[in-house]
Amino acid sequence: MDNLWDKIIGLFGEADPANNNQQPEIRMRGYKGNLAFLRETFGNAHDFCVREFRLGGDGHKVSVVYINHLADPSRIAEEVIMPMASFINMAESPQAKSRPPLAKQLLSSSDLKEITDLKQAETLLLDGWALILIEGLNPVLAVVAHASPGRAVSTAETETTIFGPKQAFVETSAINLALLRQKIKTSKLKVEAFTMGTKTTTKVLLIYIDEIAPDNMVDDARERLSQVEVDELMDSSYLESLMGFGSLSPFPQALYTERPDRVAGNLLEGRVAILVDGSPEALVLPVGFADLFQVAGDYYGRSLSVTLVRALRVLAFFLATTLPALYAALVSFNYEILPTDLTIPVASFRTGIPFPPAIEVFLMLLIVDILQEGATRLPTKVGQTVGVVGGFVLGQAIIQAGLVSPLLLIAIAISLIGSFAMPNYRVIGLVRILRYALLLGGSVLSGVGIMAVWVAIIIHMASIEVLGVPYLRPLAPLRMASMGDFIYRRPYINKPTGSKDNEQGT
Amino acid sequence: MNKEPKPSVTSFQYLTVISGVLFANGIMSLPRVVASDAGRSAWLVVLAVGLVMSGITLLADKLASEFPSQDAAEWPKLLLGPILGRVWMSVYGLRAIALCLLTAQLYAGNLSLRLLHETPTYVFAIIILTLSLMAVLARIPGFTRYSEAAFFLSMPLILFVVIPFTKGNSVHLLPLIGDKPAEDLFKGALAASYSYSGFDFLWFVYPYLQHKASSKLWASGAVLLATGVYTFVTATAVMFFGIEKLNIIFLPTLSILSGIEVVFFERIDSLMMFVWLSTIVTTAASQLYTATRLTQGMSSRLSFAKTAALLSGLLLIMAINDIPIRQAVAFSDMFGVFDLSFIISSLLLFLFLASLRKGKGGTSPEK
Repeated sequence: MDNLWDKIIGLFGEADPANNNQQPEIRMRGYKGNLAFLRETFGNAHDFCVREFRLGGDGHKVSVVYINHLADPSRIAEEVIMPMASFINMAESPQAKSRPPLAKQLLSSSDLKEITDLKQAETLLLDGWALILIEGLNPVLAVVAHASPGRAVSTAETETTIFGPKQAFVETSAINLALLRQKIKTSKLKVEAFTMGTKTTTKVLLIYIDEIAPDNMVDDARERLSQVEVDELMDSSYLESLMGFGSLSPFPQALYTERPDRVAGNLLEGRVAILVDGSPEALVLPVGFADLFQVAGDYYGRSLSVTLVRALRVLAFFLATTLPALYAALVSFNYEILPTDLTIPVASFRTGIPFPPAIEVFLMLLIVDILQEGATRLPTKVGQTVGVVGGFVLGQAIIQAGLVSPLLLIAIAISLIGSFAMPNYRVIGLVRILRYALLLGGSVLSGVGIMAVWVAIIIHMASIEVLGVPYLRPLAPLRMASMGDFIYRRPYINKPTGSKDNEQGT
Repeated sequence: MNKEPKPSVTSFQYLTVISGVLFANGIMSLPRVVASDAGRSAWLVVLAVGLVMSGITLLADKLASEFPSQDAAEWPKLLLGPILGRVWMSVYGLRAIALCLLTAQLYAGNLSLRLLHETPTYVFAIIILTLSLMAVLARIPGFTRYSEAAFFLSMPLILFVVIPFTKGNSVHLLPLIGDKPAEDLFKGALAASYSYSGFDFLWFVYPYLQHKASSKLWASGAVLLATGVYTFVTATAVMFFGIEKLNIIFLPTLSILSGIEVVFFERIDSLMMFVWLSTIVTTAASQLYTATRLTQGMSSRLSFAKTAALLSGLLLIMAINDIPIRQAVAFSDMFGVFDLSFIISSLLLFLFLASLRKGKGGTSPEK
């Protein structure tokens, strides 16, 4: 039997290096010991299933162990137990030892591996594999037996577009990878697997296109991923910080997207993508400030209209962040900057307002942010009601009570609408932080304060490099070649694919 | 430098960082300072000084090219020896600290004078120094990216000067010859030269340049760009105010801008003062970086970040004094003369020593 076993192992090849956990190894303890260990480990959980049966003549016991719903029982019966019967027969036949190719064919499972470490056995069980424990054999066989792969591929919810593909990622990285392979049909699409989280043992895939993604960028990403040490990894959003990309910075330094077409586009531009099992969002690296203003739909529209919309987004960003601070600064310190025709109405609207401009703006921003946060957590219809009540009724009441100037209300409304023009929610969070920082600067030191905060922001952005690519690119360093996809999106022209957009060291 | 600098600075960044360092100190008061001595020929004097400075910048770039992967915190020790090299670096470092402080104080004084009368100048000086420290900690790659962004931010405002230029009286620019004696023109030239303080920062940027072969073109281009702007602003101020009036206007460039009205802003000069902060930070940070690297050059065991923080702390303490703007300006006039003579004489000396090393066959270790 051992000889046959060795031959089978030889046929199956080496264990997958990607699944080499860094956890300490737990040695095999024989059939009973292994089973006892697994039972103890899972504490006889109700979904922990053991199907025991005996081999025919000599009474060897076999146990198939799996977690119900993670592994599919009918698939196990079909792909494991039934072939196992043939395997037993073959093992007992005198010809078996000389017929290893037949042994390989007996288990019809697509993936099969030998386990010599009980810790790895535990990990595989939790990943939907079935373990086959055979009396008299110390190693354990593991066969893939994943149950239903989760929800089906559906349309994008947070990145909807009118034109272009509609597919969105799901929570299963294997399916997400297949979606990408459907878009990029080349063997140069490379995938490297990592396992992260001592408790969650989450599969993470690093994806890039060989010869397009710069080697040093891929090496950097690989290095950072391999250095991640964490107990749990529940979502791709954990990785940005874990990979060391400015956990204290308010600026998003990775692009999160649920759209395979967007990931594919970025991969073709030389970036890398990271898929995390259990997360419906891919992480794309590196990104810069300019990427915050782009959406997938930009690539399916007419060049000029997209350019106009992008310019509006940039303008909206500056209005959303700076307008309240500008109001506070101008009204508190620098009336002279405004044209005379505007100064008089501004001053008259301020008459009778009990708060200084800075407090007035701060209170309004606070109310609006609370309202926004409250409406976000409510069901859609109730949220709309809260929006109407907050926006119209509360705004009207505040003005009638003479607590804030109508001009401020206009400024706040423009700022708020401007923040909603941002392509994703993470940028809205950034806008909020910058708005308060700029308000503080403008309230204390007028335009100098606003400028000082902006200078600090620019210095911060200038100091950021994501996988060696400057965050302010293509503005600083100025790259005219990349300007075709910054605010202006150049029309598509016939030319060989393969951008050098992410050259490092610039 | 402990390790080989990564070539990360583009040629255009080389231009923006050099011109950005120059702009901060000169542009606001330059027309008055030069015109008070050189009269109607002020703009020609500025142009002439600029051309000379452009040539000197070429020499500075040539010196930097002798040591392609070392900055001015390293090669003085090779050329002057360890002791004299450190002495020179001490003087150079003190000059950088003074220039940093002066830049901050002048801007702070102007702000207090024109816009925020109640706020003590040291508040602004502290803000500038804090921002400068941030820029320095971004190291040369980050700092040059910042200076490039600041360049894009502040340069468009300068273009507003075109409006008063078209309204000015060109008669004020004539006659060009015989209006003032040569001695006065020379005085005006010396005063104008202060507006070129800081071009030597290229000695610290050069090792990071991606395309060193074309550095001369971009370095002299930066000085010529500054010269073009200076000349244009000076000519506009002379045309717009006339010499007599110009002599009593403290910051003529801002005064020119104060007359311009656009749809949303009545006072472009106020806006200019705010936006100018970004350029001021470029200059102050360049000098703080210079002082930090020179301190490190004197003792290689010092960490860059801690040295920068320590020096900026020292500058913060020095800045907590409400220096009247007139005193700061008077000091800057004296400082400008010292600065120019120190830098140019050092440059010529180093070039001579570098050629001697070459003659002996002892080129720098990088070569």
